[in-house]
Amino acid sequence: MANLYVKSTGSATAPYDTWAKAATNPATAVNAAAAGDTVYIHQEDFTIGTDTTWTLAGTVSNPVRVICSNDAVNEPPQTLGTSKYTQNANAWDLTVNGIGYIYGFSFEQTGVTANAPLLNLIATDDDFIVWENGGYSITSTSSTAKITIGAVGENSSKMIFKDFSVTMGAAGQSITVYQPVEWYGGSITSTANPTSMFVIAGRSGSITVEGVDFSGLPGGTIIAPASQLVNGYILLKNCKLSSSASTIGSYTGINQGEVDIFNCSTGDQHYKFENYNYLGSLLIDTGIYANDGASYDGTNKCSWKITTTSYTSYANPYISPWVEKYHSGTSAITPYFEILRDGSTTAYQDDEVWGEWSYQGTASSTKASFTNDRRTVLGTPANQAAGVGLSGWTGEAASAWSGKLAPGSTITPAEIGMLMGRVYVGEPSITVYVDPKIRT
Amino acid sequence: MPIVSTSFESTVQADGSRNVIERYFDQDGNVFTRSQNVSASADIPTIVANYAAELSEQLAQQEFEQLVGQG
Repeated sequence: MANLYVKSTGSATAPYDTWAKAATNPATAVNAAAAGDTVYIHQEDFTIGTDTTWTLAGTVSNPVRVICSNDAVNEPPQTLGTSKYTQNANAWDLTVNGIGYIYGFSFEQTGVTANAPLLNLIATDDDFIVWENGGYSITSTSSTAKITIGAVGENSSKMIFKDFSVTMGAAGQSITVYQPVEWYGGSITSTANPTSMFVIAGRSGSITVEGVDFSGLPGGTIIAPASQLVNGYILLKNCKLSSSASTIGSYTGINQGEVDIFNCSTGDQHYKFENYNYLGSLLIDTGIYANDGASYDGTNKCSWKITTTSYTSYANPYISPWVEKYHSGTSAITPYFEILRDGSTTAYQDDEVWGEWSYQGTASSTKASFTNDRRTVLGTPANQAAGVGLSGWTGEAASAWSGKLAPGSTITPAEIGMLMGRVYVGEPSITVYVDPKIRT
Repeated sequence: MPIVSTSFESTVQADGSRNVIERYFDQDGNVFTRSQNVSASADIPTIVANYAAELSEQLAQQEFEQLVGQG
């Protein structure tokens, strides 16, 4: 559990265990550290003059800690600081592998250059790095500059960013992910319009982003499904969005992943929820809603607006997220959703739109039972039931249809617990408004 | 497979923003759909025109990669 020091005016005397004997380059001390050691980096800029690799030789229980400090008097230092690798019009890469924790360190490129400085993270098996209060800021005009998290064929690694900020410099630059990454706080922006800021490239890749500020993006797209290389999952939660950039693009292939967006907005709207995949999308709609339906603030109403793509079918429908409701009764009930078709009075049929419900139907067990109102596999399509009527909805066109999704017979929960429902849409290129409230 | 035509429909939300459904059609008859919420001041025709160009590039890239992969 040794302490190692980094300071440009140190004597570079191993084992770098005082400020006086400090290594003069962060890589020297970081790569000399053993599991459980702490590397203190003095608050200053260090020029990165070659491609550099940090190998954090920690273990999960004894990670290597790399901590920047503005206190070059005390050993160990008493206050935190920030430091960085910097380079002007060069493009040296930084690779950080292993198991460890980094506080306050950034990687910066200044000066115009067509070359690409890469930040490669957790590129070996079983890596786990937490990087707090750092950043990556580049001015490269190269479309190949990127942050790469994980590597092809890698297993069992994970990256966590806390208050980590990124500034990209050209359209094709991205954060490319092969292994799971969680990102809490900070900002992600660019001086150009990104084609897709996030790209999942490895089968183990997933991205969770919470509390990140995207508002500085001048345009472009945060998530372009057409740029995704595998079928991964991206979650944006409680983020501030850019009014100039699109959050998502269109799907052009089936293996382009699923995206959920919770409570993300350019402004002060706290009710937004979005779900996207190859088969369709779901947005919160406050322009069309059931008068006695779900509310986003206790007063004002909203609906789910589900729109399917041209690829949707009865056999391969868009499936909404579940709506959940705690149900304390064990009597027979008929759960149902109110739905609306806007712009046409023609009823949706049970091979186009149907519901599915999950309930605690097994006595003395947590095992769920399911029921639905889908057309049977070899059956003939039939109109879904009429709903509350257009007087029960607000915002729809003069030509509209009010319907109801409900199982053909009652269900009887055997146990109290969660009653859940969701909506399937098996018709391509249609829109359905759903009141996301399970009624019984 | 460039995008040869586009369409969109939008609905106004309680906060003035708009939910937009955009559809992009390529020369083979494929339809690509994008749904999003945009601000009240957003210029939707320009957004759609810009994205049509971007999507054309992405589709061309995909087509190139498929051809290279087959080769």
